[in-house]
Amino acid sequence: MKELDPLLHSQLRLAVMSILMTVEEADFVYLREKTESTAGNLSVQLDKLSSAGYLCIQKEFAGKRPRTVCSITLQGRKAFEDYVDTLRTYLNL
Amino acid sequence: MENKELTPQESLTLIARMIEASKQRVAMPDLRISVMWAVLSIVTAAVVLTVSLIRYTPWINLVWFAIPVIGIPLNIMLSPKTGIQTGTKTFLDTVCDGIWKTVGFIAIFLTIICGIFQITGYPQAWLAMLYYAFIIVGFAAAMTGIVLRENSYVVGGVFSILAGFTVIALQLCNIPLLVVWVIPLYMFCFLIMFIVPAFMIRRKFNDRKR
Repeated sequence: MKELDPLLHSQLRLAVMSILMTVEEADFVYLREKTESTAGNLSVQLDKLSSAGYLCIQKEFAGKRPRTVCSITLQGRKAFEDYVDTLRTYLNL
Repeated sequence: MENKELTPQESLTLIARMIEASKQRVAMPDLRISVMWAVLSIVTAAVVLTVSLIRYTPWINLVWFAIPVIGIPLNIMLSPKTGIQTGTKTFLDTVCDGIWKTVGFIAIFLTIICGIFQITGYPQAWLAMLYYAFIIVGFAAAMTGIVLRENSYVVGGVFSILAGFTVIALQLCNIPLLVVWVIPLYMFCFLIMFIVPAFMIRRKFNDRKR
């Protein structure tokens, strides 16, 4: 049986990817609220996903306040779809 | 939420939960900008109608410029807040933004074209702005309704398009377009294209929240 992508097979990273599959982009605050995670942990996991090429992270300013905006890449979308397909085979769906 | 490993069943549950959580945002579009333009258009039309009925002068038509002069700065003021407040941008936001930006650019270029006609001695060209308001804005409202799956926008938009073509047909038949009914029709179209749908969406959203 095919292995589940270890990068996605973790609670917080999978939650982030699931959100970004349904929206075009989301900022750090939104992701933190929806995943109910701490800023430090979320930041680390976002970096891991970004390093793998699954996420695109842009830093911008909203007025005087910095804003981190995340969006899923084509590679990330493909990885997520593969992950869900593999899950289906595990669960015989 | 922590960084623990999941069982396949937990993964699937988590994916479903996160998709549901982000859908809540999709269900409530920001209505302030469309309502602002509608209110501005209706109030401006009401001023033009009132003054025209009391004592008509061609200069009163300059009041129509209040729509872009007040509307564009207000639009700029409201726009950045929209994205920052919600923290997310969906495909629906991108489509709706694209539709209304196109409508805005058409308005700007049409104003320039009408201005050129005015300079060359054809002030009646400004009637094109009326057709724009009925047909182009109506079409955009209908498209927004289709994208957001909100039928009230579609009904309002289609009504406005039909009103626009009726006005064109009447003009082609040399039937005079009187301020006394054209402007109220214009106001009514903006009311059912934007204010009524906004009211209905807000009510649906509040019901769902309850």
